[in-house]
Amino acid sequence: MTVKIDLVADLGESFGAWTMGDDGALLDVLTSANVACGFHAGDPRTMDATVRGCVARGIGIGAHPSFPDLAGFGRRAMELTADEVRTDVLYQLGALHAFATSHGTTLSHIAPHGRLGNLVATRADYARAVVDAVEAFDPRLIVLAQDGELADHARERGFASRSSPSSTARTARTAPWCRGPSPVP
Amino acid sequence: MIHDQDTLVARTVQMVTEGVVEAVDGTRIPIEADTVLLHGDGADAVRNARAIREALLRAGVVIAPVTEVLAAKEEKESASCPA
Repeated sequence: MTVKIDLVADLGESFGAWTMGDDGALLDVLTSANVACGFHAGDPRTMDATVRGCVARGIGIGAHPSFPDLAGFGRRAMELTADEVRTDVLYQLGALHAFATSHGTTLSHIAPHGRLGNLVATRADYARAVVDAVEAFDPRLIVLAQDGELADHARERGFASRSSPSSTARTARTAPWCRGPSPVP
Repeated sequence: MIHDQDTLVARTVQMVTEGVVEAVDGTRIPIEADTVLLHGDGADAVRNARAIREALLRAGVVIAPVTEVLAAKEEKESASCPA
């Protein structure tokens, strides 16, 4: 039985004159990319170039939505309502979707970034907000999540229509590998 | 954060091919992953990413976008389900 795995990283996290990361090099390694959608990084030119680079190599494109926090790279704590999270995610999905469409492709997945990414694992209201946004935008989007609230809620929606050909909110497990302070998930 | 590249690569390959991760005390924790998230920041990030990819390929792992990984999984699951 062949083992299959997706190698994914966050891409497109530069902003205008400010460069972050080495996307060029990573594009040769990855099979999927979580692309910044403008709220923590990623100006329109960066989003355009990143999507183009992914399409050229057959790399799956996912949304990497964040809290509205450019200065803090989406890492700062802020108290958002669940509805703010839902609509922020929808907005960012829309932005990236425009670039994907312009390059003849679609989004394959979503993986929340930074502080939002951490909180969707522990806050059920945020997890629900993200799943609501995904379901309203494109229920075929794969939700990349570690074990936690977001994975549970996404799976719940998926299970509900698992038997139907057009399944909603499929989830994929992402190994929290190579990230965070501890080598143990 | 694992800084030793060899350890990082070995553990990643083990996780993907065996579905387990060894905790610092030696306990083997089962883990099921469809994707491996690589850090893109830090000086070693690209080097580690390349090393992990090469090691996975050497181990016979197929690297593919998550849509394909899930499709293969769903196929396997439906094949083992009674009609």
